[in-house]
Amino acid sequence: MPTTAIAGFDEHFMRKLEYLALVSKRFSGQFKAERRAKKLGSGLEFADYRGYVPGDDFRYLDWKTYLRLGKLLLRLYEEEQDLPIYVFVDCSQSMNYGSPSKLEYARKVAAALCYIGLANLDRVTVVAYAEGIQRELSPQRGKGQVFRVFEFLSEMEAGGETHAKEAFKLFCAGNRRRGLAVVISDFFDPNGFERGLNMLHYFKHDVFVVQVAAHEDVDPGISGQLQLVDSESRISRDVAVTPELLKAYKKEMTRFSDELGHHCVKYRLGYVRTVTDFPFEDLILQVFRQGRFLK
Amino acid sequence: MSFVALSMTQALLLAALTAGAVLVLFFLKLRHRRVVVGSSLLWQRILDHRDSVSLWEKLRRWISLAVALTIALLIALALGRPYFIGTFEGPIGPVIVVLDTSPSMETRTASGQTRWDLAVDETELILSSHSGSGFMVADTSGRVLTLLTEDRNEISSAIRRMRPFGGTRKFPTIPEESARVYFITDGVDPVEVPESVTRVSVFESADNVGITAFDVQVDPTSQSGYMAYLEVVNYSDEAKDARVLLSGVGGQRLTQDLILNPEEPWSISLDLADFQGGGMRVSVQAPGDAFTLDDVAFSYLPTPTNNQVTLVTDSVNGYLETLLELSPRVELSVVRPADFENDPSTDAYVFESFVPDESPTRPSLVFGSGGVDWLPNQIGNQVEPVITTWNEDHPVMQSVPVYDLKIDESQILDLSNDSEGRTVVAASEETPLIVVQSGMTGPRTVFVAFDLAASDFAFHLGFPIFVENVMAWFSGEGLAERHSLGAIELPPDTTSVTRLDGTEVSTEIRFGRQVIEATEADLYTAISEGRRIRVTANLTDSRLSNVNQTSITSDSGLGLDMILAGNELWSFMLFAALLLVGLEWWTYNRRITL
Repeated sequence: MPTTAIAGFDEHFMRKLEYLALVSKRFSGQFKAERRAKKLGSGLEFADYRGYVPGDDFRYLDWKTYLRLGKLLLRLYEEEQDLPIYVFVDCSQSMNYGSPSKLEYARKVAAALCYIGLANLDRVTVVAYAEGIQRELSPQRGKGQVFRVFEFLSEMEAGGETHAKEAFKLFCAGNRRRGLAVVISDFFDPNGFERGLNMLHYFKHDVFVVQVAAHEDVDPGISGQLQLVDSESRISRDVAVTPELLKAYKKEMTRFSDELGHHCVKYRLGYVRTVTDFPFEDLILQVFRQGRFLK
Repeated sequence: MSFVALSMTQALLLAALTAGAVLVLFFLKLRHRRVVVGSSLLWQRILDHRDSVSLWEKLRRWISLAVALTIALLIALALGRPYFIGTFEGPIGPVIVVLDTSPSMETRTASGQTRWDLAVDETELILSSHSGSGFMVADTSGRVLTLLTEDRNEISSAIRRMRPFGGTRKFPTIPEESARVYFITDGVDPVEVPESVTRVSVFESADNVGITAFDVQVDPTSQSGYMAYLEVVNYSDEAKDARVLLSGVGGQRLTQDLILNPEEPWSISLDLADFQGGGMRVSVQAPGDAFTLDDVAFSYLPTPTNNQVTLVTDSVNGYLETLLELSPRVELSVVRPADFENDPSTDAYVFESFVPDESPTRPSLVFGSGGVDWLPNQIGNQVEPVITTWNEDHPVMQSVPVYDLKIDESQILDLSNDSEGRTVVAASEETPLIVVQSGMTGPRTVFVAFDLAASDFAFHLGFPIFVENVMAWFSGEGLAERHSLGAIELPPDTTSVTRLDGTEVSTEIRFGRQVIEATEADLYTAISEGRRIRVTANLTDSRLSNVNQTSITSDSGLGLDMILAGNELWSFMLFAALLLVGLEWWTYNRRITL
C-alpha cells in the first residue's frame, strides 16, 4: 500500500489505522444492536414471520414451517443498510493554529474515522467547511476508496472565518440521508457553536462532536504587553497578559469546553474533546467507546 | 520648594523636558508585540468582562504613566538639588540675614566675584528658600537695614545698597527671639555672634599683598623732623613679586621691587627730607592680588613752619625748656608766671605749673595746673592714675606710647557738662588725663591733667614727639588724623571736604554728627572754621589684610550649600524614585502595570 504518497499519512499512521480497524470490530459487536436498521428487507439477519399475502416474494417463504404447520409464512429479515457517515472538518483559519496545528490533528482523526467507516462498508462523505462548505468529497464506500479520502484530507487548507451554521445549512439543503455527522472542529465560532450543531440535529443527523484544541489554546504561554491578533478576523487588541489574566483565560477555556460538552449531553450528541498533543488513536478509542460510530 | 543648583525657571524647563521625554517614551513603549492567536474569542470574552467590572483596568494605563512620570521627574529634579525648610521644621519665625561688612569681604574669589558678591547671592538664596513670617537684613555695623517685612523687593534693594566698609563692627541686636538668623561672613574679622545664629561661610582662600602700616611720624632726630614708616606683608600662600611705589605731591617718587615670602613683613623707615610737605601716597602692586583695599595708603607730611613759642614756667626742671629749645621749628622765649601777659607775636604758649585766669589768645599746651574757667572742670585729685585708653590716631598722640606712663597724682576732670567740644585723647578709668580742644570757640588747647614733675612723662621717648605733635597741630600743619575705612566723623562746622585729587566729598549728618563715608583709602582735607584738617583713611590693618586668616571652621560655619544640604530633598527623591522603580519592576513583571 503506497501510503507515503499522500502527505501526512505515512506507514506508521496506516499501521495505527489497521490497528484501530481491528479494534473497531470488537467494539462493533458490543454496540451492534444499537446500529441495526429498523427497516425490514433483504438482510441476512432473521427478524420475524408474517403471513403471506399475494405479491410477496416467494423466495422468503418458509417452506419448512409450511410443511409442519400448513401455513404460508414469510420470513422477515432486517435490511442491512450502509451507514452514511458525514465527516465535517473545520478548515477555518483558527484551525491552522498550534503546533501541530489543529487542522493537522483533525485530518488524522478524520482519516482514521473515514478508514474505519470505509472498512465497515459505510458511505463516508468528507466535508471541509469554514464560512461555508469549502470542499466536499462525494460519498465513498469500501476500503479501496481510502486513498481518495486521504488525498482529499491532505489537500485541505485552512482559511476563512468559522460560520458552522451557514455551512451545515448549505450541506443539509442538499437533501442528504440521515446519518452520522462527525464534526471535527475547535468550535471557536463567533456566531456560537450551538447554532451549527442544532442545524445538524434538526435534520435528524446523529451528531458526534470532536472538539480539537491546540496545546496553545489551552495554555497560551504568553505574557507581557501584547497585541493579540485573531487569526481569522485579523482584529487585534492590546492586552497586558498577566498571570491573573492567563488564569482567567484557562478558566474560560475550560468553561467553553464544558459548555460544549453540556450542550452535547443536552441534545444527546456524542462528544469527545482533545488537545493536539493527545495521541489521536487514543482519541479514536474514546470515540468508539461513545458507541455511536460503529454499527 | 527651591533649588540649590537651578533657578525656578530652569527647574520648570527641566521638568517639562523630562515629562515630554517620558510621554514620548511611554507611548513608544506601548507599541506592543504582536501575537497571533487562533481565535480571540475567549480573550475577548474575559477582557470585555474584566474591562466592564474593573476600575483598575480602566486606570491602569494612566497609573503606569503617572508612575513613570513621577520616577523621571524625581530623578531629574533631584539633579537640581531641591530643598525645602518649612516642610521639615514647620512654620518658622522671621528670617534675619546679617551680612558681614568687613572690608575683607571685598576679596575677589577664584570665580571673579568678591566674597561680598557671594554673600549677596547667598542672601538672596536664603530669602528665596524660606517661607518665614517676615524678613530682615542687617549688617555688622550694627545697622538694621530693613524693618521686618515680607516685601522681597524691598529686601533685595536694601541688599544692593549695602557695601563692605571699615569702622567699628558689632553683631546687631536681634529683635525677634524666634527669628532664624543667618550670619554670612568670611570670618576674617570676627565679631561676637550669638550661639543660635547660623554662620554661612563665603570664605575662599586668596592671594593678597597689602600695606599694613604707613605713617608719617614726627622724628625729632631727623633733618626734616618727620619720617615715614611703611610695612608691607604678603599674606599669600606663596612668595610674591611686589613693587612698592611711594610718591609725594611734589612729584617725589620712590620705587622698590620686592620678593615677599608668605607672611614675612617687609618694612622701611624713611627720612622724608627729600619730600615736600603735603599728601603722600604709597601703593603696592603684586600679581594675582585679590584684595585691593590695602594696596594703597595715604598720609600727610606737614609743611615745616617756624613757631614762636612762649614757655611760661617757674619750674626749675629745665627739661621742657631744653626740649623746646632743641626743636628745629620752635623759636622759644621763656617767661615766669609773674611776668606773663598775652604777646601778639607768640604763636603758641606752653604753661607748666601755671595757668592764667583768662584764656590766652593763642593755642596753649597746659601741664598740670587747672581750676580756671577756660580749662576742663577740676573736681578733685587722683593718686597714681593709670592710663588705660588713648587715641593714637589723633594728631597730638600719634607715635606717642603712653601705656607705661607713671603718674603720681593727677587732677580729676569732669567733662559731663562740657560745651567746648573737648576731646579726650588719653584717660585712666577714673578721669581724662589729656584733653584737646579743637578751637571751635577759641584757640586750640591741649591740657595735660598732671604735672610733669608728678610723672615720668618728660623722660619717655614719646614726650618729644608729643610736644612736636602739639606744636605742629597748633600751627595747623600737624599730622593728619588717622582713620580706617568707614564713617569718619568731622568737626560739626566743617564746610567742605576734598579728596587728595581735589574732588569734593559730600558729608552727611548721622546722629547729629557730620561724617563722610570713606570706602577706599584716601587723604581728605576738611575746612573747618578756616582751618584745614587732614584726615587719612587707610586700611592698614594686618588683621584685615590677612584675608586667609578666618575664624570659620567646619564646626562654626558652613557654606550655604552645606547648610541647606541638611534640608535638601535630592536624597529622598532619589530614594523615592528607587522605590518606585522597584515597585514598577515588580508590578510590571507581574503584569499588574504596563
